[in-house]
Formats: sequence, structure tokens, C-alpha cells
Amino acid sequence: MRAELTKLRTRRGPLLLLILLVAVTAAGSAMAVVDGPDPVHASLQGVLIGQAVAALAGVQLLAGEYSTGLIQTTWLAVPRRLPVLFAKSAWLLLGVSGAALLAVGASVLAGRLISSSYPALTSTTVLRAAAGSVLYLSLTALFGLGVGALLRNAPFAAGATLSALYVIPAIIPFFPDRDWQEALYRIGPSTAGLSIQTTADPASLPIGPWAGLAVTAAWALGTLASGGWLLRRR
Amino acid sequence: MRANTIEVSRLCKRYGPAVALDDMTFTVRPGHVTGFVGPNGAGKSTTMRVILGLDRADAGTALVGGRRYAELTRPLTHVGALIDPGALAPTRSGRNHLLWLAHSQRLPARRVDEVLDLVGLAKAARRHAGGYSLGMKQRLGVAAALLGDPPILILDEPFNGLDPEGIVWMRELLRDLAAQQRSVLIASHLMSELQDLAGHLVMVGRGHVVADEPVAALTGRHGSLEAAYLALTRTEVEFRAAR
Repeated sequence: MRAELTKLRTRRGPLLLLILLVAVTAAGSAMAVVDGPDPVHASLQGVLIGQAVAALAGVQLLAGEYSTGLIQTTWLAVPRRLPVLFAKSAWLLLGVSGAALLAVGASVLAGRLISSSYPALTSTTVLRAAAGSVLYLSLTALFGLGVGALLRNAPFAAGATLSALYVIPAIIPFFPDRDWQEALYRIGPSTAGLSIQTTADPASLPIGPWAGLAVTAAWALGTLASGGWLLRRR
Repeated sequence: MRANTIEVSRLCKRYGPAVALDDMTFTVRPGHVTGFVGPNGAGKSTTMRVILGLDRADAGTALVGGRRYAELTRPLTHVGALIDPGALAPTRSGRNHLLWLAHSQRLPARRVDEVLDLVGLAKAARRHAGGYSLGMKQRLGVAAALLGDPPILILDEPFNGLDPEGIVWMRELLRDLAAQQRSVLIASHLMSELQDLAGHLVMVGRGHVVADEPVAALTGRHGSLEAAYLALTRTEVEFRAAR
């Protein structure tokens, strides 16, 4: 645990990524605020950009070590390997959830200040959407770490993770069959997970808010578990 | 006695149709430098990687101090290894590279400064390791290998990239380490260097051992280590220029 923290704080990259996560999420959200039917949802749109930063932070953490060759030294120091994955998961979760808390807090605050129809910040809908967004960003980062453990190649892992997050929502409209559209929505890590942000009529969505977030969690844990199993086998 | 030996027993490994290790068996004992030589592709690096748990063998065992490397807690206090001097993050300083390694083995930060002094990198320690020359990266790799003061050392081509002063330094260091009753296994292509430095030699070709005896016995029979090498590996070479 301590060694992985030392790794993180002795390079500038990890901290810059967290700052970037806060900046793009808050900025994206502030620009998206409108007095529409669901101002809370609109005020959290920065998460759509922030998720890329969170995912890349996860990818970089392990798969990035394969790019530099550092991974060999890491395995020599910790030949059991799984403790490395656990420690990285823990610090990633801590770092990204902290940054996400700042980012989402700023987003909601901006929404409240700009939009006149915004509900009270302490209302359960706002709290659910905000807390859910923080969880969503943290899970996205873990998903990136898991894909990195599976593929052990940073460019491939980044491509695969971002495709899962962005390509699935992009291709949904091209399916003529509504059942197919809804099925894809329910299994996509970003589409399902982001349903947590909807505060106006969430019942109209193909998947409920917490069930949707559970789908994202399943992607994160599934890739981490299979990635961890592969790391041990090699 | 067993605490500081390397025991390689009947290792076999294939990469697809290519045989990398074919019944590789030898033991490295403390007290002298053991040279590990053989043509390119003979299985030296693969053997070292299997000993260190970086690669998996299809069959056979490799034990360090009587245990598998992957079973060691705080492995760097049992075995120090230098396989690839470039296995580091280029934007982290040399000192911080050693610092996270020290933390991973629950060693004090004081130990980092000790090994930096030992390898002569104290002045460059706060610069990014990516900017180091190959010789400096080798020194950093040796510092990492010595961090845990291990009774067993495994070094792949430690003389690569060192300047003449560095070569003399490395030779003396390896001699001292062996004299302290450590097991020191060195893969190298430098026969003249090993002739003076090594007490014992393990020569391999095509994944198995072709000679495993004291250097003095080999030079006694063949005149020089280089002549012994050329005679013993003649039939084992995978790649050779036409003459």
C-alpha cells in the first residue's frame, strides 16, 4: 500500500489527472446548465467528459507500467501480484472519489446558481444524482484499471475503455428495434450508470438509477477480477 | 547452507514450437561468482526470469534459498536482481524509484541513501531516471538489487554500458559480494571478464546445461575460457555467420 502511494506521489502525472478531472467536469457542467425539464441532469453533464479522465487515470495506473517497463520491477518487488492490484484499486478509488466529490459539488453549485428552477441542494433527488455521479466516476476509474489489467497495454486499454463508454451510447440510435436499443442501454457501462443522474421521471428509462449504477459496478469488478486472475496466471 | 543457494531443477519451457528450456538443471552456491554463459537464445534470460517468477516454466522447479520466489515475503531481502536496467518510470527520480521499492519491502529510507552512495549515484539521485545513461541505469539497477542486502544476487549482463572505471568498480563489487558468502549469478558474454572474476561456470546451449564446473578446470583443459566456450558450444549455436 505504502509503496504504491510513494509511486503516485513521486510523479506529477497522477495529481495533474485528478486536477484535470475536476476542471473538465466542473467546466462542462457549468456550460450545460439550462432551465429545462431536468436542470439537475443538465448540471451534471460535465461527468460525460470527466469520465474519460477518470477512466484514463485507471488505465495509466497499471497498464502505464507496462508501457515504461516499470512493471517488471513491480513484480520483482511483489511477486504475488494481487496486492499490487488491491493497493492500486484502493488509492485510485480514494483519489478519484475525492476529485469527483469536488467536481460534482462544483457542478451542482453552478447549476443552483445559474438555473432558476433548480431544486433545493438537500432534496433527495439532487443528493442521489450528485452522490451517484461521484460513485459513477470512481467506478469508471476502476473499470479503466481492470481493462488495463486484462490487456496489459496502455493504448489498447485506453481504446477499449473509451469505446465501451462512448461508442455504445453513440450506436444505440442506429438500432431500429426498440428492444435492442433498450437492451444496449441496460448493459452499457456509461448509459446504464448515468441513469443515476436523471431526476425528472426516472421511471421512463430502460433501467432504474441504482440498478444502472450496479451495471457500471459489475463492469468494474468483472474486469478487475478477471484481470487479477490473468495477472496471477502469468 | 540452503538459505543462499539457487537450485534450478529440470526446467522445461516452450514458446510455441520453439524450445526455450530443455531440462535445465544446475545449482548456484555461495562464496564465488558463478558465470552463466551461452549463445543468444540458449535460455539464459528465460532461466533467470523463471527463477524470479517473471515467467512460468512448463515443468521443473527453480528455488531460491529453498523456496519459490513467488512465495517470498519481502523478496528483495532474499534475492536481488538486475534483469532490465530500463525497468523504471522515466519521469521518476532515481532516488524515488528506490524509495518506493524500499517501502514495498518495509525497508527504511536510510537504506536508499546507503545504496545510492554504494553505487556512486548520490549526486544524480534527484534527476529523472529516464535521463540516465545506460551505465547510470545499470548502477541504479545494482542499487535496487542491493537494497534489501540479499544473500542471493542475479544479474543479467551487469557490465553493459559501463565505462572503464565502472567496469573496474563492478568487478570489485561482485568479488566483494561473493566473498561475503553470497550466491552471485551473472549472465555475460564477456569471457575474458569472467575468466578473472568467476570461480564457477554454468554454460548452456539450446535450453540445457553443457558444462557446470570450476573456471579453473575449464581453463586448464582448454587454455582459456573463450576457447572452452567456443569448443563446448560449437554444436549448440542457433545463429552463426557463414564462414
